Amino acid sequence: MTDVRPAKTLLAKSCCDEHTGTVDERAPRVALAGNPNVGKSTLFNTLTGARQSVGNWPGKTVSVARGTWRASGGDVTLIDLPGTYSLLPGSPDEALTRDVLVDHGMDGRPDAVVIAVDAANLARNLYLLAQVMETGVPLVVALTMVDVARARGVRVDADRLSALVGAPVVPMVPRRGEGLDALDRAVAEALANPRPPAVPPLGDHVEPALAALAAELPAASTARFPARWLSIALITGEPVPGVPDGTAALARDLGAALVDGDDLGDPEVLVAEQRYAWVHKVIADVVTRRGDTRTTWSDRVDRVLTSRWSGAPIFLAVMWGVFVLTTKAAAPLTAALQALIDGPVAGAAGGALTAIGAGAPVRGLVVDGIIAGVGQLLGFVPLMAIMFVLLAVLEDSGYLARAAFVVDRLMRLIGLPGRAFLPLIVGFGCNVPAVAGTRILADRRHRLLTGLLVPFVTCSARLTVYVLVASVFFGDAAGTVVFAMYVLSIALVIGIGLLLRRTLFRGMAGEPLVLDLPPYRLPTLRLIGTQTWVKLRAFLRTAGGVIVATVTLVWLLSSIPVGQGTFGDTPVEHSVYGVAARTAAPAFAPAGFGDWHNSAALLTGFVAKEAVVSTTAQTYSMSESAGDGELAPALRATFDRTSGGHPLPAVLAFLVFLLAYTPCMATVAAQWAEMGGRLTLFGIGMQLTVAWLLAVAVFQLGSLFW
Amino acid sequence: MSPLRRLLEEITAAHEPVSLEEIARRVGVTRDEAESMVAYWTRKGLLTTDDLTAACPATGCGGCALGRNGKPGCGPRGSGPALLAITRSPHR
Ligand SMILES: Nc1nc2c(ncn2[C@@H]2O[C@H](COP(=O)(O)OP(=O)(O)OP(=O)(O)O)[C@@H](O)[C@H]2O)c(=O)[nH]1
Ligand SMILES: [Mg+2]
Repeated sequence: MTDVRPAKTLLAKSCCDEHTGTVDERAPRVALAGNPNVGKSTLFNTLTGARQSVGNWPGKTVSVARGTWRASGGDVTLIDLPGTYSLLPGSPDEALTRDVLVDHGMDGRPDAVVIAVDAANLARNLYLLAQVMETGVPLVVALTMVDVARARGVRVDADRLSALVGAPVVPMVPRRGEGLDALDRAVAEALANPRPPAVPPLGDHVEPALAALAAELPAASTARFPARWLSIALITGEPVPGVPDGTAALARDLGAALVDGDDLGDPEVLVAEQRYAWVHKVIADVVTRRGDTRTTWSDRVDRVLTSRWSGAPIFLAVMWGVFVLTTKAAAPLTAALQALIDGPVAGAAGGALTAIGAGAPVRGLVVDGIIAGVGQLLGFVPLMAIMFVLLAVLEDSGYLARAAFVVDRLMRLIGLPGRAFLPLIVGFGCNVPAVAGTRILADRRHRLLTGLLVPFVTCSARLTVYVLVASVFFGDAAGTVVFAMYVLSIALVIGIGLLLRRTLFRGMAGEPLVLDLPPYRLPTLRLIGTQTWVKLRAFLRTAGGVIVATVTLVWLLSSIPVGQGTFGDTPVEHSVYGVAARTAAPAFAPAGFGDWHNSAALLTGFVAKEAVVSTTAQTYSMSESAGDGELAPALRATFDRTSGGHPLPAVLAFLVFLLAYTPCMATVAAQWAEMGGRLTLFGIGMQLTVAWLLAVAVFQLGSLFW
Repeated sequence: MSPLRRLLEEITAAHEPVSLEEIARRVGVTRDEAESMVAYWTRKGLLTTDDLTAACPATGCGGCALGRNGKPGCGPRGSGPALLAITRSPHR
């Protein structure tokens, strides 16, 4: 009963393909227009029994659907138009809707228009309504989403709105089928006695110009287009087909005279101002808000949460709470999972491999490598899940949006424009899209500076290492240690940013910033569930891939002997990998963690931070020194030894180094693409220097007290 | 000056971060109207709106693959704050 097809063919007379021949060409046509996402397709589907795609985001209907509505007064052909915000065409969709409404020369022009107006977002919808009223087409206003509006305490007086619009207004809830009968009656009446709606006045400045132009419009043009719409379109400089040059020139002159001495020099703005004035009046007249207490309540909360003084401490306290809660709640789950994998699972796999006669190297890869590495990763699933849930709650409630204010103030310290904090905040998830995201900055210097700072933003991959190491060494205080790493990360971004600004990037100007804050609301379980799942899946997918790849690489390199020995039968310390790690190890002695296990982990960390944990597990389970699979005691023993009796400062130094040095190869590649080789290499050098200096400082100072 | 123009002026003059709610109050319209006006100026090309989707602090996007349309970010649309910025000065 419906046919969906590209816009052009819809309006051609030769419709009625064999398979869709059910639409009666003689039936009156009614178009469904309105803003995106206001329930047009829902209404269309209810009325015609069709299945147009409906969803909770704007812009789903991209082609035009037609269907037959068996209305009480006879069949009506219903046309579901794509949603538009304006009749000033900015996209093909909008152009189509505009043409359907104004071009009488077009076949299939509707006899009446049902315009869906979202009662919960009246202003935006009324702006389009004002434009549609200018076309003079007989209208019925379907006031949708009245349930949402009611829930928000917004009441819209349909009768008064109807009087102002000069057309029937039918309050309805398309999703529940409420108000269909009233709509049926209103449309039947509009088809039987078509009447143009009222006309929103455009003010003493614009109206005379419109009148002057209207008097000169040629008959051919007014036969094809509604006169008022045509005058407005011509004066605001919109191209209209078939208008004689003389008329167009007159319109241009009239328009130019209107904006004489105006900053913006655009007559369309003058018209928009008048339409908004009309919208404002209508809203003041028809909308009543139940107890504005809610807004003032949220205003008051906002003032505290975004204040210059209390914003930052509250933000820090909230984030501290998140980390403490996460690490506390996840610790037993993680331990249990890891014990399960290290013990029974690894044992069973090892046994099975021996049984089928697999050699030691293969067992080494599967048991010590993949099972140990992936097992460590799986151990982090509860942690990540809890963390994602908490963040989703914060985000969904609208709090994180307020935190953006706090971050923005910090950005200003560095002299970066407000929007630079978009890539930096994204960097907390992953540095790679953050580097690519610097593209949104218009100024090249802003882009480069931000790109250099991104690696200091601690990404989610680094979080796993913090948690593993901190829970081994700091027990109950693990959450606080993790939190401290995040604070340090922010401090590094600001510190390095200030340093670079004083040296490489002098004299940059900022730009204004306005944030559109979402309202506070109670988080919904479904949204939190999906968000957590999406992020967890993405984390597992990237981390899983990275881990299997690096584990295999590490296994290969650690199976190749240096000097004597054969492939697969050499102590790790004497493999290519072990030798490389041992060569690097002394560099970390001043920082208190100069052991090859650590430098091996940092080495793979250069490739990807997700691999640090798996490499640690792998190197310890490969080297004999580490008993059977117990990671924590082995780690403790190592740090005790390398730090000369100050393991805690050494561990902190290790974490600090991990935070500050090059995040991963993917980030390096992204930087290379965005800012070129020289700055990328400079960046790597800077990261290593900063990381090393900080780590040494942390250990040397820390071991004085600890 | 009309509210539509005032809104643009207020955004241009914002030296401190302010919320759209506050701008609406200064201009004397409802938040809903202000949103609609922002959309108007955005269509006109004088303003840009970037969805900041604050999902990302702390652990955010989880992986690298979640950017949308070449821009970073994740989470459902419109749940985060949006950044409004003037693309060109209204004063020529
Ligand atoms: N609460 C409520 N939700 C509604 C109502 N009508 C529609 N919806 C929901 O609003 C969303 C958008 O509905 P659609 O019918 O797809 O909107 P549309 O106007 O066709 O959107 P585009 O095609 O994108 O322009 C869907 O999730 C609907 O289920 C209503 O009266 N009340
Ligand atoms: Mg639709």
